[in-house]
Amino acid sequence: MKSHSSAWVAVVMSALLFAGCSSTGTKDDAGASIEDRGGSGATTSGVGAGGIWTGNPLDNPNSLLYTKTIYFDFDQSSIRSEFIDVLRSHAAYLNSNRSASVVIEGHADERGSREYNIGLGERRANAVKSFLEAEGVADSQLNTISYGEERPASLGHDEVSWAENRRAVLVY
Amino acid sequence: MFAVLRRNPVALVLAVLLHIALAVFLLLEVDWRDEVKPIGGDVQVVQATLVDQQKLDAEVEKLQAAEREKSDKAAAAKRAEQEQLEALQKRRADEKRKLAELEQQRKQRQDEEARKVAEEKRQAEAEKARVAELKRQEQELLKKQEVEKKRLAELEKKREAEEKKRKDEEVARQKAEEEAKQKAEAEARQKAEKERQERVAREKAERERVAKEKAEAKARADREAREAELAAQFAAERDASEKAEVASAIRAKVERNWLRPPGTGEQGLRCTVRVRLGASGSVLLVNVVRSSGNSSFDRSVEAAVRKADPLPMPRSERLLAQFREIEFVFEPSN
Amino acid sequence: MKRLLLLVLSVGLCLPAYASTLTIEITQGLEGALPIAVVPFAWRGDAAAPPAHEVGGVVSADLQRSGRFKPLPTSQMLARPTRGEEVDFRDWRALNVENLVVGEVTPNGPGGYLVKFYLYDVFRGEQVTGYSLPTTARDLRATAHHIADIIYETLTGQPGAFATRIAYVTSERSGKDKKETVELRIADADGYGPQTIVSSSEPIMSPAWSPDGRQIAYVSFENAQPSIWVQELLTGKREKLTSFKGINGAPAWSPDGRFLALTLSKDGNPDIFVMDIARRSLRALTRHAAIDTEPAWAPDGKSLVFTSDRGGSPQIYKVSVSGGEASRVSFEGSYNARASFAPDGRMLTMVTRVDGQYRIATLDLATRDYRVMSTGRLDESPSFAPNGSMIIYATRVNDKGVLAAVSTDGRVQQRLRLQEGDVREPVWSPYHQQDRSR
Repeated sequence: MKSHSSAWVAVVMSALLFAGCSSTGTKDDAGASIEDRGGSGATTSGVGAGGIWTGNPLDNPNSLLYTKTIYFDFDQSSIRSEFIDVLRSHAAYLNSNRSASVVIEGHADERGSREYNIGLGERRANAVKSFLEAEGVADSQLNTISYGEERPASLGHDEVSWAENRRAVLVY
Repeated sequence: MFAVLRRNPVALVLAVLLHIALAVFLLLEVDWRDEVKPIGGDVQVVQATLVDQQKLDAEVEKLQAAEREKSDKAAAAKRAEQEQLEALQKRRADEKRKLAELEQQRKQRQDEEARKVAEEKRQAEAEKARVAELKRQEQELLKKQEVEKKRLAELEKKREAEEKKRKDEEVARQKAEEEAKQKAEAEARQKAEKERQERVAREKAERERVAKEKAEAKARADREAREAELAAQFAAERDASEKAEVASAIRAKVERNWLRPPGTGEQGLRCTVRVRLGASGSVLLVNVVRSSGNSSFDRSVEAAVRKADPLPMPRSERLLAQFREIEFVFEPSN
Repeated sequence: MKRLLLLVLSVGLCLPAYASTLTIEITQGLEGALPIAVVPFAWRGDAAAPPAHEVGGVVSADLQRSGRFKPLPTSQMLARPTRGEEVDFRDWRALNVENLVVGEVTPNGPGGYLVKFYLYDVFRGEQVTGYSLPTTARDLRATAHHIADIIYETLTGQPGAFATRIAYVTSERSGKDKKETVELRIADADGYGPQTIVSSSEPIMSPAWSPDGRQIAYVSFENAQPSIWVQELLTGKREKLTSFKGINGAPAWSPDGRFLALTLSKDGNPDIFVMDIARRSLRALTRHAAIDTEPAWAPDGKSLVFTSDRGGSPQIYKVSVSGGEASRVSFEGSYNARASFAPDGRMLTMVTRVDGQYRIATLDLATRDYRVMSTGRLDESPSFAPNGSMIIYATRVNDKGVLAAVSTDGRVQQRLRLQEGDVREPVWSPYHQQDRSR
């Protein structure tokens, strides 16, 4: 028998090569989603030994609903991905409490003219409103108001303060 | 592959040999076909044709037919010739007749011609006679004219003679007058000449005297004039430079004191003021002659002049007069 | 011959004397404020001097703030005349002062005063003008502003704007929780004598004077809802003009006082509307998905400018009062907002962003000349004086909101007297009857 080892070697090597490409890179999804531990009675710490939150779910510090302020980038009114889950939980809350309503406040940082910033604040409030409506919340449960730069959360005049003022606030 | 070859060396050699042989054959272009060689030299070949008995009979028949045809043709030809001759004779007879007619016509024409010629001759002679008559009349006329001419010429001659006579008398008379006048003039001239000469002599003497004096005076005046000219030149130059100097000093002082409203330097504004000055340069009067249209600009112009009081003035009396009234044109340049 | 020669020479020498007048051209000089001296006015009464600030001081400060005058500090004055007879022009010529103001205040009946002043041209050495103005204790300061107006107009040929007022918003925080009190105030154009006309714990924005100076429109967030109010200054009476869903903002009076342009987002996004005030009827002026806000009327009432980010970022656009296509007006930089017209309609002032800093700019509409007028980081709310000579605006100094003014030619910058807390959104009043006795 003659040996055809070299040919097989070539074939095998090519196969290996292609095999190497077959797997798409799996990125590590170490992302922004916080573990959903809300409202289901799971045991947590910090509330009381073995305690279950019994008060208003909106006031539960361990709940996403506790977060009622979402922040925006400069001159932007698009919802940042890190706040999607927060808004989803508020949507869920409103969907399961049809009698509840919320006022969405829109704010801007102090730079630029005041009335234009009122417009920017409204854009942000509307972005949140649209998101919640897309999640099924009824229009009648949502109200918006823009304060522009008139109601800053932070009174400083630097980037940090400005970032804290570019926000939408859900006021129940 | 090499292992196989090593196991069968004979085959290898044979194969190689075969290939070499092939190569050789190819290279030498050996042709393998059988050759066909030609037989002997050139040979004449007879081109014979076969003879056919039927064909022969047909040929004889053909010849006989041809012979018959020929004789027929000859007879026909003769007949034709005969006809031709008869036609020719007829034609000749016609022609003779025609000729006789023509001859007759010709004779008629000749008679006609002779008659015409006679007529013309007669007319020509008549004409000749008329012409002769005209000529004769012309001659008579000419003769008459000559006679007349002669008569006039004689008259003319007579007149001229009389004219000449008169003229000669006139000339003689004038000449006499002329001579008399000239004589008188000559005398008078002589007299005047004498007097003139005397006077000239007198004047000459006088003139020479005066000229001498004048020459001396002129020399003096020339000297003075030259000196005056030089002095004036110096003065003028001095004046010009002093004038420029003072004007420049005035300008500098006024500019130093000019504070105009903000922003008015680039608006193309222009204000003219006329200023009356005292002898020492004090500003007596400032009048806006041409406003810039901007009241605070005009105001600043007037203030500039007043703040520059007293203005520098020239030292010489002559120039002072020119500086008593000055017109300032304020126009900021970039 | 000798005589002839002399005659010729002498005539030649005399020729220059008969030429045209000597002309000298002046092309250089300095540009700057007019040096003026305002001598402190004399008080001719027996009783103590009136409580109002010294009239001369107010006049002096007004003239200085305009940028056109440079008043001599009293410490440098060589003499202090208060009457014409006491004036020796040499004292002032020596200091290169071109104009001199002297005056006096005399009691004139119960609670009344007579203010006399004289304006002199120092180098001409003569009086230019003089006035005698009866007034009261309450109006003493207003009279001083009036005197400044007269002097300004006499010497520059343009009307003064010193006897005008400004409105502005203040914010003060007190208590542990820094609770905010927002107020709308009115003061003299020099910042003196502020009066509060609205006080609230909710934001107040965008005050706007009516053309007759009797009313102010503003945005108030009372009852957690932005609405536009119009308030009568004399009586304090006010009424709510709009309260639609969404934004109600940026009220702007038309030059004839019959209309109010404003921003409403009731139809989905902020657009400019025009309201007929008498009929309360609304007409949309812009219809665009972008933010359209901050309308301002041209002085001829035929067009408006406004802020719009329809092009991607805020810029100034212009639209006819009858509506239609809007055309862009600002082309410098990537952010221009809150434009308003100068009184002659030839210039705009606006907020502009330069290298990340927000400043005040002017744009000459004819020459397209664009100039940055201020030097702060967060300057905003510019407003022209009614004579077009100055622009008041809000800025920050030492972390506090203050008001500043810059002359329209950019030469002089001034800060208005500081108040407690933050001051912002200044707007200059128009000329109005009660302030000018013409």
